[in-house]
Amino acid sequence: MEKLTAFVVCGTGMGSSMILKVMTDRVITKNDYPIYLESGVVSEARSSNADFLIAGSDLVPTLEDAGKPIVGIKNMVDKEEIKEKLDAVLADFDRTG
Amino acid sequence: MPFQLNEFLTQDRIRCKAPAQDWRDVVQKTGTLMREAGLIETEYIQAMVELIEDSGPYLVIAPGVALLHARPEDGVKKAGMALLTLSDPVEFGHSSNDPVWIAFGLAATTDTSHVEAMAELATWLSQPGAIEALKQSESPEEISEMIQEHY
Repeated sequence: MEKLTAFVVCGTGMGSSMILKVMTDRVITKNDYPIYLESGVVSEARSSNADFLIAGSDLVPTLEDAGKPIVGIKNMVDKEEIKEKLDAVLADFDRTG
Repeated sequence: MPFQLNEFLTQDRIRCKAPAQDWRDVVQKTGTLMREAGLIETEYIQAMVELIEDSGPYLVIAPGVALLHARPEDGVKKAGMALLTLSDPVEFGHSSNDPVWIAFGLAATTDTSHVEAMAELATWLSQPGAIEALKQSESPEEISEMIQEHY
């Protein structure tokens, strides 16, 4: 199955996105989801070719003009929340396998 | 060399149950700990405030937990972290994770030295009860022991 590319967004790319990327990566590996992760700052997210974006929920409003689906995560260390939201986006892309 | 969490967040940079008036005060106090530990220049503290003013409170990464930081070029001298827990919680204006009880202050350099420490921090905080235990901790020794137990 062709993988989707997700872009993990942070204001600076240093702190919270690092946590979110680590946690998302663990959920993807554990569940064998067809998702490849990239990460960077808001401006890079807008110009990236990623299929969808992943960000802390409070960063979502600043990304709505990026023209891509956005997964907003409230609790970045909650694997259950991340899994549920990735399940939903995979269903939207019809990649549930 | 990647840092492990117990080297990245040493006991001398942890303070428990500090009073704070508002989120700016939390940033100031966490920043002061970082400056006294030689991690940052004073200007970095203002840069942390400005990042929240400009980008919003997305730095509140989990219920009750803020990961405060600015950019490497804003005055980082040495990669590392500080930790301030609060006697009373403070609102950062986050839509779901307020109020904040625990503030980590991150000084990251442009290399990837902090990546391993961030991965360990994620592992620690994602364990059931970890955030509550941090909130309840009475002393830096206690928190330092919690870190040692994990890593």
